[in-house]
Amino acid sequence: MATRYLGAAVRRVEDPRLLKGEGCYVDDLALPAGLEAAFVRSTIAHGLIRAVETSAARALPGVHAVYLAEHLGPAAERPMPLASPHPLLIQPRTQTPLATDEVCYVGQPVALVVADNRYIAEDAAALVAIDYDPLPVITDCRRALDPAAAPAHRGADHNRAAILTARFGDAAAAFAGAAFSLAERIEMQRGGAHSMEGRGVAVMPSPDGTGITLWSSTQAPYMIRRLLAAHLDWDESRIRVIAPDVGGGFGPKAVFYPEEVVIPLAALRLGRPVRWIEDRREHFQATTQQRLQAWDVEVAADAAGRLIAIRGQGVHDAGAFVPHGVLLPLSSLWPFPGPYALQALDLSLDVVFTNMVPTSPVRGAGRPYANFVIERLIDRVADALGLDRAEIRRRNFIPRDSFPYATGMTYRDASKVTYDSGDFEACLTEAMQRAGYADFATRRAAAAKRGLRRGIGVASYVEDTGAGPFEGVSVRVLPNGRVHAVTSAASQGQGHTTIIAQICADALGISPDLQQGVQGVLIIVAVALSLDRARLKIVK
Amino acid sequence: MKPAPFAYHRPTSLSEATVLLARLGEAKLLAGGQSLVPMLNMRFLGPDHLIDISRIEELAFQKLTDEALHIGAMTRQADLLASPLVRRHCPLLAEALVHVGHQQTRSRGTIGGSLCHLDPAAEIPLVALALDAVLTVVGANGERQVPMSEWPAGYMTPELAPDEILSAIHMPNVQPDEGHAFIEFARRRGDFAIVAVAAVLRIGPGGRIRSAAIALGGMGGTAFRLRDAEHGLIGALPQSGEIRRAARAVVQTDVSDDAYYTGAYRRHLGEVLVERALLRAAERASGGGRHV
Amino acid sequence: MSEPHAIVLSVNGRAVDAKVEPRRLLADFLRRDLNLTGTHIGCEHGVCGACTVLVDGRPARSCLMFAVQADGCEVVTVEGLAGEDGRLSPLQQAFREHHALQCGFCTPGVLISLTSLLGASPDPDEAVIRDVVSGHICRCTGYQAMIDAARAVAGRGVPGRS
Repeated sequence: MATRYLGAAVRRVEDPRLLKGEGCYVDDLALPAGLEAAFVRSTIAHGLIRAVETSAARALPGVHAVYLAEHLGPAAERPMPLASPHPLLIQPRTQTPLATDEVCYVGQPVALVVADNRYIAEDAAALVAIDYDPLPVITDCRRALDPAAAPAHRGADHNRAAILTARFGDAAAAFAGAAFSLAERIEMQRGGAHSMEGRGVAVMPSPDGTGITLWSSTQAPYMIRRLLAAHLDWDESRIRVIAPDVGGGFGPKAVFYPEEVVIPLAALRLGRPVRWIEDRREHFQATTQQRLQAWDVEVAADAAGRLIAIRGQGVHDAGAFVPHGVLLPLSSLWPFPGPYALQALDLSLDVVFTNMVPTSPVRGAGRPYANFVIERLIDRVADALGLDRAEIRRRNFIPRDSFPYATGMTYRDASKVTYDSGDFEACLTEAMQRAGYADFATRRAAAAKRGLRRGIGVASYVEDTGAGPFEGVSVRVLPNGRVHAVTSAASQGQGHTTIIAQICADALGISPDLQQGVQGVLIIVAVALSLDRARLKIVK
Repeated sequence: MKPAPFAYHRPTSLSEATVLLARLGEAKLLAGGQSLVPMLNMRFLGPDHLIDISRIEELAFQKLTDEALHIGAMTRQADLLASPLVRRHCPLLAEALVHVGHQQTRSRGTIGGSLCHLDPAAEIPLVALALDAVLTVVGANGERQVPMSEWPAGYMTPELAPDEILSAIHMPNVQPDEGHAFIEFARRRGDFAIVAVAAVLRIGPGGRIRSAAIALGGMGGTAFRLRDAEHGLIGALPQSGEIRRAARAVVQTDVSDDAYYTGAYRRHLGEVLVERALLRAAERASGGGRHV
Repeated sequence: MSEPHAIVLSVNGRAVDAKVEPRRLLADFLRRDLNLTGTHIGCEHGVCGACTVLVDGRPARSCLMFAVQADGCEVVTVEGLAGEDGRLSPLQQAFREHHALQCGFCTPGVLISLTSLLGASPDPDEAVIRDVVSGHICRCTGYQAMIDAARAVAGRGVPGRS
């Protein structure tokens, strides 16, 4: 395929609308006779709901309904489906869309208020009185497996969600025979995504009463449809899911949330459109976060700084539920050993429950954790042996004549991780050149005289992308000369409309006037999985 | 995050405002709103009444006399920042104002609002404290003057009765032998200061310090002056070790750890910033420096 | 108690007559009552800047103002920046050329702040541009392209990247 548009600097077709404030995000939809909702969320980390008083809230003028789980039927009272079931999940716990008897994290939804507008909904939400019996709380994942640790879930024997391991070679022998080893404790705190647009769900029942249209500020419209249909036991054809303009995703919007069940149930019950827009406080409390991971790791090396083996024990904070299965902690293992030729690896990661909001992939989705551990260790070895940090990496890179290279790891689809090609040393050399690494010491000294402290860091990684199993695009050339391209790759700012237009233009030899916006190519969100881990653009 | 309901009043004169305030229970004054409205939106506050004083023309002014620059409480921070009067006669305030919030909040935020909100890390109260400003407060019973040192009644609580309104702030004019410095340390532009220092030195003809004012913010529930250190500086030459010794006084301050920073870190910052501020103030005093 | 108040204001040059509940935020009034959904709500406590509009010529957080406070004021939103014919303003065009937006959610607020700056000060220093942009949070772009776009409009051109 000759490339004229792909790789060229083109203007985005998305921009004119967005620049003029003509974007349509979930809160911008004009929903006729629409109502607005507010959730009443748990204010404690763990407890039993003894009683909920809603009469004052219901009586407020402008309030149309106050729902608890029991009012919305069985679909609100049974646990939500797992997005990524996995045989290693020991306790595959998901929450019920509204809490029934137990709350397990601050922010967990307990009740829904539907009113004429959000102001009144919040007034009513403030009037809902929940009587809790507090239960013991575990918030520190590093303590979650202690014998005396409080169970995150009432009645649970332990807080272990899964044990994940990554092993190849004989680490014990490697350490026994190594000239040098060191140990390190590495901790990585939780983090939120904080897209500028929070989450939001709007649902309109279909006029003939058979289905719904659901708009969600989501990265994964297809996954929402599939899982909601499964949960409601509906044929998927009854549900239309639309991701309109989405103001950033970064990972947490690729989760199937309780709000995405509760709002449809409320809309169906009321026979009117219902919209819920997350505010910033809710984003802090009830939108998934990433990590926390804590590792005790050791690295064995020879006297020349060549790493031989890494072994360690880690703990990963899943939060109170695992809606995303173990995808995130798994993603933090298979990137080992990065670009380095390691003889042995022995890692064990305990995925544990805590009474915190659940964790799921955010920006990099676990790979940066593995990378942080590896890069930290190699820097520590360099320090200990008096080696330059770039030089030690050079000594440890998989040599350019060793590709294709099987790293020893197993990928999430059970295939063996193999790097097909690479010249890591050349990358490092070029990076060092561009960074002026060779004479950095001089610049540092000059800066120090002016009272400025300078530092330089080196890190390297191999990132997997284009993960399968599939993504779909269908392209049709219409009689009027326009081209329709249909894909499920929802965008939250990545500019997929423009990218697809570029690809189609090159593939079909057409010349879309990209400056004019959508002239040659149209994008409609439809088929296949969902935007997950940057797999849209793989160019061969 | 929508506020709870309230009734809205918009008096056009100060006397009308004081009468309203006295008559209505559970009322809050709305000036710039940059501190109050977030609290309303988060429902940390739910007053029955909001009295919008932003249209009271007599409350927004800048008037220069021989002794002081008199500033109406409703004067917007952006107007003060742009004001040649402030730049010339109250350069410490001019230097501090660039750190107050962001340009977009200074459009609406007011000097009076900041003084009444009294965040311990806020810049305007710190400047007022360093300059020994005087505040005019108006109530149903008339007017009274409050020295800034007596203004904080406690954490984020000014010495203001429920029926009183802060109407004006009187900032003493900069003196010819005076040098000033305002320094704050924050992680990002526009963030609340972790620690902030406002310093004023007057240097006599012999090059010795005649008077010193050192005000610290972000270290405890209210901003405060390092009075002992100030007294210790009188008569000293700026280039002696006395400034370093004055800065050491910060180490004695009782600051506890909080959710963000340790007391030890704040004390360390305070010491460093006090020394830098005093040195810069001394430099400016000698250079005839009224420049910002 | 919270009786609606009559307000009269100008929005993007058009006169508007309305009755609003006192607690109705200006941002919600613009978005819901006037259907001007270009102004976005990101935090509701004045930190993120997505809701920034011009009030009497100055950038202000519309999430920290009540619609009643805008009585008698001139308000300009992002919808008022492009020409009548829909042509992008020079700053909007520069944003497009410099890829200064991705998801577009923070963009209207930034456009308002920079339009205001460039109107008052046609050739601002980069430090001033940065100061104005620092009143906004963007999670997509890293801000540099916004600064480049503003500099381009200010006629300084884009500095070479080192």
